[in-house]
Amino acid sequence: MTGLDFRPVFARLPFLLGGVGVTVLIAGLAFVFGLLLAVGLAVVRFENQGGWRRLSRSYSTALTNTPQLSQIFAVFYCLPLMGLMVSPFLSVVIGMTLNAAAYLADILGAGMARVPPVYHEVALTLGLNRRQTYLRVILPYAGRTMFPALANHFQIMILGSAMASIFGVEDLTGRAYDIGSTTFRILEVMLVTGGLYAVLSFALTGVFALCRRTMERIV
Amino acid sequence: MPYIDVRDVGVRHGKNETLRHAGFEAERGEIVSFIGPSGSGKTTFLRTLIGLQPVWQGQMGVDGRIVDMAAPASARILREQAAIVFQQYGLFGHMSVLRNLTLAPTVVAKRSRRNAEHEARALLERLGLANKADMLPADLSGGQKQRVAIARALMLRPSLLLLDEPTSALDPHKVRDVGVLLRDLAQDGMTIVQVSHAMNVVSSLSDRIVLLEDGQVRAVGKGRGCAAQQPDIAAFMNTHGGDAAADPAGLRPDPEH
Repeated sequence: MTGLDFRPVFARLPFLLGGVGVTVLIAGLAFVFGLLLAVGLAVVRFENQGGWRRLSRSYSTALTNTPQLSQIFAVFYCLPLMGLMVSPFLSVVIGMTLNAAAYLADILGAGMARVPPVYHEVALTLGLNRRQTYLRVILPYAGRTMFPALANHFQIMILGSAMASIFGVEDLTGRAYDIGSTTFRILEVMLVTGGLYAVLSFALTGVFALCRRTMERIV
Repeated sequence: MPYIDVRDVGVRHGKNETLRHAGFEAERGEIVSFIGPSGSGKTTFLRTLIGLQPVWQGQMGVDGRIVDMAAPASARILREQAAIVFQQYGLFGHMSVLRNLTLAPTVVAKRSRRNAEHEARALLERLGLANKADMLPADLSGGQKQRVAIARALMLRPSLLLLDEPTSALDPHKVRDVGVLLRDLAQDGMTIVQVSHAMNVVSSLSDRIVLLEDGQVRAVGKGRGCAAQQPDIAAFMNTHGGDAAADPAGLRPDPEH
């Protein structure tokens, strides 16, 4: 193992580190919008029988059983066909949002099913309307039990956002490819990049633990 | 005219009539107990009084104001005057005891948080829970949870307090405490309706006993201490005295827990 030379990679470290921000931005946006969409899907599933519920379930089934990459490709090529010109960055964010919503709706659905049924009646007799019941009671209660699963999915999204590089987005992996193709130090740059993903992921674990503690104090 | 006047309540489940022409009266500050065999409609009747159970007919008068219980808008009106304590309490597990009490006053009644917390703390103090305000419900005993649930209901300032099986999950000396508390509240002018299986509590606590059978009111006994002497009620209590005697505090295994 004498052939490894990290100097060209370290010389371009600031450029590579700039990709960390793009990676976090893609995963973060997709997670937040995915979660909003998932709340809608989960509530629809919880409140309705029949058609709407089936539609929401089918959405999750369809998107959790097909590759995320295919979904992003579909967004990337279909939106322009519909006359919507969107950047590769936005295509990836939209594709990942749609995918995240499917998984997160399943997680939320499971969490909401664990909320004691009497909470709905208590909220009703306390005078809370439906929106207040979900925002103040059902979702925060469910959120507590679902937090580990949600955090876990975000971590998967951070690592999965490397797919963005396929569409030419300059995220961490995209920039690693750039450095690799100009320096021909592919192995070195990929080792460093892998290390950066690991650091990022560990750091997020800490952030989540902090979030959780603050959340418990606030509510 | 009695303070609470419920008449002609009918509930149907498909072709079954779970409640037929059910009604009762109560003066302000009275404690009313619904008794009867299981499946007689006690809890269903209680739930109609706060709009949790749709009825196809029935009317309720509170202080001379008459509500058509079958009208779609009636649930909201009923909930303005009544509060309920559920058998499982239903305290919100992600909120402190204090927040459980202040949620409805701040979010629904739009009172200031400070004002609501002030009242909530005073109420907790009165119920002997002053040092539990910042705890989560999971850290409380069964009896404490119940008192918090009662306190939460009282924060709504109801004129009618409903309790579903308030003594079913408590041990004997706690049962007496709840009895003392309910008597206290009634003395302050609150009208209380409870569903109970604990016959000794019912006979000592009630100003009125309503015996339900097969969805109908079979008998009503009146007068504190003598309501249980009404012949049909005495007969029912005797046949169910078996469990009251073997289980003097009305301590029944709760199927939910």
